[in-house]
Amino acid sequence: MSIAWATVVIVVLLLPGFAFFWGLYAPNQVTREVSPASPLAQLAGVVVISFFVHAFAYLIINTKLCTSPNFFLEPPCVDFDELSALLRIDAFTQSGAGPHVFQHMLDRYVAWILFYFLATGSLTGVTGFGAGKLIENGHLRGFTRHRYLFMLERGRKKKASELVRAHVLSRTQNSNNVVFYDGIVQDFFAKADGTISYIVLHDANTSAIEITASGATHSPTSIPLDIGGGGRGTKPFLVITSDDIANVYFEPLNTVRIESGVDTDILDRAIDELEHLRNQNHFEAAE
Amino acid sequence: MRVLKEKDRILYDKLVRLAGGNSGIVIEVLSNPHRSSVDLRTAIREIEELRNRQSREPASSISQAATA
Repeated sequence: MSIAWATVVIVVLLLPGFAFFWGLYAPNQVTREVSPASPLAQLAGVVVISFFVHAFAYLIINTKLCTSPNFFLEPPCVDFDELSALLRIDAFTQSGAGPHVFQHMLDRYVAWILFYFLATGSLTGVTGFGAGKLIENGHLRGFTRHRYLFMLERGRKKKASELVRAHVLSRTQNSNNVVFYDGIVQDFFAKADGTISYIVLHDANTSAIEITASGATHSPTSIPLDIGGGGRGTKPFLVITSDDIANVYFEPLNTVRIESGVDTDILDRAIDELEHLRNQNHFEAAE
Repeated sequence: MRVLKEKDRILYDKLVRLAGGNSGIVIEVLSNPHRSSVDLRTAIREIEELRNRQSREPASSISQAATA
């Protein structure tokens, strides 16, 4: 019972550290997915951050806040003896200690205890969030583990349309010919060490690369995997897992700026005109 | 991690439709190494030019073959 209780108390005491890392990974998906590269190191970080937060809070509360008679909140001082006894719940029921000391302490200070953890948790969570935003925006470069992942995510966060094309060299081969894919990157997932887990391509094409003694030769044409699927509601996509990926070349395309809604109207009209003309030609050819 | 926004996918599909279903034309227009961005009107014009040029080329090559 006492071991389980001590564990619960320690987990609660580590709350500021957990809040910091929650805030750190919250701004972007990249770090959230790649973060558990070293769970032990992260746990060490949680302990260190929690220790310094509690030490700083202890310093502020016991030297400034609880001793200042004019402070409007008048928080109670942190009693370290009672805190250390709290870790061992048996200490409250041992001989010499009253049976209701623990309950009495909780009844009296429960609001302050809750407020303390809420305040420290929020503060460290917000600090972590700020650090996460700095990493995401290219600052704190030393903390960025896999920068290319941020490059891929950057386009999604921009207002303008930024597409990334991927050229995937597969492991599928027949004698000297290797299957090659290219398409617009739809989804991308990386493993904890930064290697590719799988990639999803929109509007994928396939081609072949012939590897000879004189070098690699790309086939002159590539074949779209989606043949005649224009009328479907859900667009087809290609999923390639790490087992079939030799390497990937990412090519960010030109950003398409849409100055006003008129531009998209022009595009819609141009498509309508083209398709109307095509239907008309088909109809005339059929006649 | 989602890379392609839904609105970008719709725009890309529309550009491919404008290119007559030839995504190679769209890629050619959007992978110009001399610029980092392009406004939609310019992209539409360049796609239409490339599409019309490519549709003329097979016709001219057929007529040349017939003459020969």
